[in-house]
Amino acid sequence: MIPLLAGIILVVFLLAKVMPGDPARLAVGLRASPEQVAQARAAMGLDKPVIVQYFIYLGHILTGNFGYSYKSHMPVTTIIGAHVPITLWLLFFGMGFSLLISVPLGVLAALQRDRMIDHIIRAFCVLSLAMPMFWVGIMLITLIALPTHVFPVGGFGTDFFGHLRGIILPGLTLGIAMSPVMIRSLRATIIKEISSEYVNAAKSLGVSGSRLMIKFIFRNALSPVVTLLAYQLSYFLFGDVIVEMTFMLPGMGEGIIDATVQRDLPLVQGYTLIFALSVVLVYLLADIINSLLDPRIVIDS
Amino acid sequence: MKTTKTILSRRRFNAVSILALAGASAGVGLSKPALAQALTPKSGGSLRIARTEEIDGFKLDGEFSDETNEVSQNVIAPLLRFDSSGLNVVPGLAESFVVAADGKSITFQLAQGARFNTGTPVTTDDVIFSVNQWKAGPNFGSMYVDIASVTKLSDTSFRFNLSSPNLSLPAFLTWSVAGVIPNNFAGMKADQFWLTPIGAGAFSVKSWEGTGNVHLVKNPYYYRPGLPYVDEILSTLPDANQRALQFQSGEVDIVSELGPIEARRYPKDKLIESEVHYTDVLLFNIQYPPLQDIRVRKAIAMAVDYKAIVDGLYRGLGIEPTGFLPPNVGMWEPPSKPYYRQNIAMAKALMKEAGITTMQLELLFPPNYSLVSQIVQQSLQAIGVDVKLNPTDSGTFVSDASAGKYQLAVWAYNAISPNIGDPLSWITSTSYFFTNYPLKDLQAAANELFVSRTPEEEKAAVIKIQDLGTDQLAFLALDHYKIGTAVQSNIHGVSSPPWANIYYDEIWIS
Repeated sequence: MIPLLAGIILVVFLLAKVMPGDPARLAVGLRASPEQVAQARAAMGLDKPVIVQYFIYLGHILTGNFGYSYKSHMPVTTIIGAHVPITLWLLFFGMGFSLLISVPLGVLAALQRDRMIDHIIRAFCVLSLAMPMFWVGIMLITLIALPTHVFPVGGFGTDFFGHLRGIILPGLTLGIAMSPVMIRSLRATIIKEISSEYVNAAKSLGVSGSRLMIKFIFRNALSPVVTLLAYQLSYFLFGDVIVEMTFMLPGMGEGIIDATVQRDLPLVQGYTLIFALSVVLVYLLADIINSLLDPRIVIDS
Repeated sequence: MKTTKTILSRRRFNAVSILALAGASAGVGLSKPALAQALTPKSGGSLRIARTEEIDGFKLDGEFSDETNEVSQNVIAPLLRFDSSGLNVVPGLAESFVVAADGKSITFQLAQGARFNTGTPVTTDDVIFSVNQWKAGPNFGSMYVDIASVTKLSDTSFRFNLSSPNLSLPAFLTWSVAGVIPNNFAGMKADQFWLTPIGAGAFSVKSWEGTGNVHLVKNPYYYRPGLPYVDEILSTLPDANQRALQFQSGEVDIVSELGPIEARRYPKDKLIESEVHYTDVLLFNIQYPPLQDIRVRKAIAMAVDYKAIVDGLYRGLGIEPTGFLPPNVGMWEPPSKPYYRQNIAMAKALMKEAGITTMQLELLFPPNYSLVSQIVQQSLQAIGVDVKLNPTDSGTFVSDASAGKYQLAVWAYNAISPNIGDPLSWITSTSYFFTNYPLKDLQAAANELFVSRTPEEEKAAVIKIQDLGTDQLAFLALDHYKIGTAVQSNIHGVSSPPWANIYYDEIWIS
């Protein structure tokens, strides 16, 4: 993991180097003279050899110093720290909606295999996969937020209930976008479990109905779905950028876009690093969950 | 010139609103006291503003965007203000200012009981410290170098002693970059102070981000009694679609600084329109050899289809260029001869005279200038100039334009105070607007303006400057256009000058 993190830091550093624009000019201002820009460049260490700049950057990162925003001059960690909770809200609600949609539909589709209801649910899955996330968001704004005024068309509100109102539609958008894969996975797993030997054995012992479904089939079918959900979290992080921009939620997704547009390099580097670290951690988490749910993985590994 | 008003102007808007309210009151049987109550300002409420530009922060010398200027003016109050017409400077934190007969000093008296938002009185020492900060700024310091010294007359009165008369200085003292801050940053380190600024404006900063998200709260020590009316202001920076949707759903009260294309998405009866002022420009980098030839630049100026921009793009919210300086600002005068108009035959003749039959040029432009750039591209095909469009983000545009890394560039500029010296200062402090054209003649003419003492001298100086801009053609004005401010019908007291900046202290919610 350490070489992977070192590689990520190197890539993030190099990305900033190849971005167009002069950070010194942006930091000091439009009207500053070339001499003043040169002074700023020196003060920012941009006149040093790239390799020296890299090791200075690495040293700062390892000590938790992500630098200061060129734009607002605030510490990068402070700015990102303010955006993280909103993204966590969105991920939590996105995952929640995803489970709320996919678990009942996945179970229903499996139990009604090849019947009309199964075809409808599968068609919904295909349709959901074909719908871009931003389009789903715009549809929810147009069809729900604007006519009803129950939910805002954008923003995160200023108090707890404002946050709650502001997160429902973005969470639903993320949930709708994520559910098809989960539904299909759950359906396939349940169908497989239904025809497995232990289920037949349970049936022959007189176990049936909801007890058979919940205690035997669903419990075993859930394991790969939870693993899939953990892996999906990394995809959630990218979907998060789109959803935050659609609903103007001031989370990490909106933050990285704004920082990029403003050529605020320390901030771009900070966000990129945090996103990359999050993906690495999520995969690690998925592996841990997988091993907890399926002891064979521990034995194999 | 053809200007069809499709949107109500600010003055008409106010008048019609009052008449409509009066009419409505008659229709629904509102009594006179009820009508009076409806029109009487009341305190309280939260004002929600959707912005169109990011906030640069509160470090005075780093304030560039118009939105930053607007927010900062309402937090770190400058000595003077502009009136709603954008044509006059009026008292602000300084309740009076008197320019000496010889123009070499200005005497100020601070407003009675003026205090910072911490409750500490504003004193002459604070002003002296602030002036030194303004002058030390790498970006705007040159605007205030004529203030040779400040003489303390009392704790609340002082005199600016000028090294030479500067007619535009009072206008520059309305800028946010000339905000008055506490002596020695009130004991804070400078960096910390700029993050949590202290000022004597109508509002204090509760929280802010560089993105445009700013939370302001009422300053209880504001120097204008009874003001501001609203308790807090929450502003955000949504994209164009979200701005329109949030305004439509009533989630925001004001959408500020709408360009002419975006403004058309808003209901006409809720749009306050400024006078034409903002000016799109085509910059010629004269370090690039073909563009050093004035005949080539003039040929390009005569090839541009100005009508396509004004009629096709801005549709009633813009006019063809009247000179290289933005109009409808104090002391503006047109050039002595008509500005450039499309004349393809003459443009072709000039290209032939310059010995050029075909030419390739690259046109750099930031976001939001795509359509104007496309019209320029298509226009220049008529004279054999093949333009390759080079769209870029704002940050890269600023870097490349200021470093001279372009051939042609499209951008826009405007004043933020009631004096023609304002846009002129932008031109003269940016290597003649990034074109690298020698500044000597224009600077000399600008100096004549700054030291002029009579209206006749001012007029002559401005005309001379306009003529120089036309003849030298370092950059070409493409149009002048209006800016809109969308305002919900229950929001009152919003007035906007040609650059659409709003003073928040007189806004109230019914």
